[in-house]
Amino acid sequence: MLGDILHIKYHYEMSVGWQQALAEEMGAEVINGTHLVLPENLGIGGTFFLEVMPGLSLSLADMTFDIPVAFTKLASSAHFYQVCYDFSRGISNRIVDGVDHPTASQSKFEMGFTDSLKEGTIILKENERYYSLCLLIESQFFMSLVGDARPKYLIKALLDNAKNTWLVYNHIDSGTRLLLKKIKERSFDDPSFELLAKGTALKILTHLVKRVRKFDPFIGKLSPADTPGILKTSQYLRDNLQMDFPGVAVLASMAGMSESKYKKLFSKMMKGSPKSFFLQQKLLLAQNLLKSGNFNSIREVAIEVGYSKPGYFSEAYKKAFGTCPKEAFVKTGI
Amino acid sequence: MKEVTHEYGVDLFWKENLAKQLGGYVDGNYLRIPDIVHRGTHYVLPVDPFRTVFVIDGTYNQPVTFHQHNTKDDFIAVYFNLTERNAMYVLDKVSKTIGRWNYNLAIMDSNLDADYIIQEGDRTYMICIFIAKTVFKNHLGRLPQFKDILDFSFDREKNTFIRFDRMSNEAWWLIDELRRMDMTDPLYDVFLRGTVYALIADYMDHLAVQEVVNEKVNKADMMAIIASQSTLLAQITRPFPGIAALAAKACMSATRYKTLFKKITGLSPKTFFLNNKLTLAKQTLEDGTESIREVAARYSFASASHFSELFKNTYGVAPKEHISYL
Repeated sequence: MLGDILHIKYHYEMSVGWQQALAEEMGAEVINGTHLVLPENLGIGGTFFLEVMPGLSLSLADMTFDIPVAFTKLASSAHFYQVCYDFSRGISNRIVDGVDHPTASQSKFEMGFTDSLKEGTIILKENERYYSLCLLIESQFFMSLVGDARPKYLIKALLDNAKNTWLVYNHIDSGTRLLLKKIKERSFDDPSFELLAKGTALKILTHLVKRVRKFDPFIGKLSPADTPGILKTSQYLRDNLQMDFPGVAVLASMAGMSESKYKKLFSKMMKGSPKSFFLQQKLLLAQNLLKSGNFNSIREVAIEVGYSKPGYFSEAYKKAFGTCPKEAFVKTGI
Repeated sequence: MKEVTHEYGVDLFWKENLAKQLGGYVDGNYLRIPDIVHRGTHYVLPVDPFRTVFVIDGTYNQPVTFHQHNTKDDFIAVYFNLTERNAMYVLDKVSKTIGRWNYNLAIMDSNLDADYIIQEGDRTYMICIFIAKTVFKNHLGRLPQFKDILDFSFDREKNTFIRFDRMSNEAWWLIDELRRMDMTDPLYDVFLRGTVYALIADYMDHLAVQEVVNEKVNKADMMAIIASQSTLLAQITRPFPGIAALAAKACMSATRYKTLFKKITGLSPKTFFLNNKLTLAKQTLEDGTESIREVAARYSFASASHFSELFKNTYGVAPKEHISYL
């Protein structure tokens, strides 16, 4: 699956030492014990890691590689939860247990839970900035914060990789989005960066716990047999954004379930109906295309994503983003 | 007049004495003070081995003079003080008035004795952060302008580190967010720790771009600009009054007004006004009682779409998206 691209294996721990091993594997350097700087032959940027408080560590990655690189996270020696927010602009692929999970595909923000004992691989494309923030949270500490708002088994199921934990991808609250945007604007070398990073980690943890307390207890109701079907169809939709919506009947049969069951499950997992999900992804793609500078007119972009009439496109776009396509459009060849 | 002699420190050895002097007792992280002295909360939390935070929130029901006399000189105290009315620090018989737009940020070396006078009825919200001197020096040492003078600044024979400043607008909102957290939730401690780091980070950012203002600006100018900030905040729901009107009110030329405002606050009058307007509008939106259109109208934005555009420029997301992910 990975071909002959550079493949780096590493494992996270709650304490700082692990970054050194990763640095050695990549031929990189660690500065001040926190900041790993990529060697020039691989790309620019690096990673940043610190212990925020007992039970909580923070890992940041801001990297642009010159060549495609696959990272495989090996199982850690201790048990903790890993919550990652991926807000790269580009497209990367996440492979967990051999199943391809797209992350940060057309949308700008994605999140996911992983368990430290699980392995996973992420493939980063060349010349695209990859930016992610991960909280490493000791499981007992996390549970004590969540309290009794939800039965323990539900919370555990939410955080358990073996049980559909990727379900919460594409669901980041506004408070966290603002914090992520702010930290992304800063350099790891800023004098105040370490303090800012600690503050950000603790605040994001607060939002996360509040979120988990309110989380719909639907996880237990999904059978592992159903989820690949939903994933498969959502991927199919994402891969075919140029076409018209294929209809629920086609998708349901692709997923191997009845239409009503399919619609219900899809909405629960993706936080929206298949059609609205498709439309949203289509428009996000359109937004990226508008900004790409590869098109001569908005009309061309509209046609590219399957709108025959630019007027309809503009209307849908305005409804989704609150702004006109014109504002995002970068004309070709400047 | 109640007289309280007390001390602080990164370690928590001081809290029993302070509670006792105020007529109360220690209950876990709380100092329980009787209502006749202070109605509200006193809350202490060790943030990490080098930093401790003390939050005072409430109203003093009798005048109190605090005589701070520290026995440890190994820390720096940073006070973010949102006390309304005119609480005062007295140092070497020179008093400094504090409050929202006066000196509301004080950074003091622990080897300094200071008196702090509170009037009856003063509404206080204060965040005191005690930072080990070694760590504080390390923070400042990362800023280019402190590199050469660091050792001098902290040499107790030659100098006492003390600064009176105004907290940034950003810091004010960081504290405002904390004030709205539920103190009884176990998450409060997590959020409070996060706020402490964010406040110190913000202070460093603030110092990094700060020109040395206090020496160059006279007191009358400073008071005029502070008054002007209050004027702007009092009419935050209205349209921006314009530089000409503001300058006239402050009895300055427009150019001088703009320059001074920028020097003292780090922001232009218009940016200051808009930042505060947007933050309040964001809060109103988050309350969920009004639509985007209504909020835009309440804060006198030209239109809902103009509001959305400004919101998006500032926060990176459109208001509609923001509220749908709350």
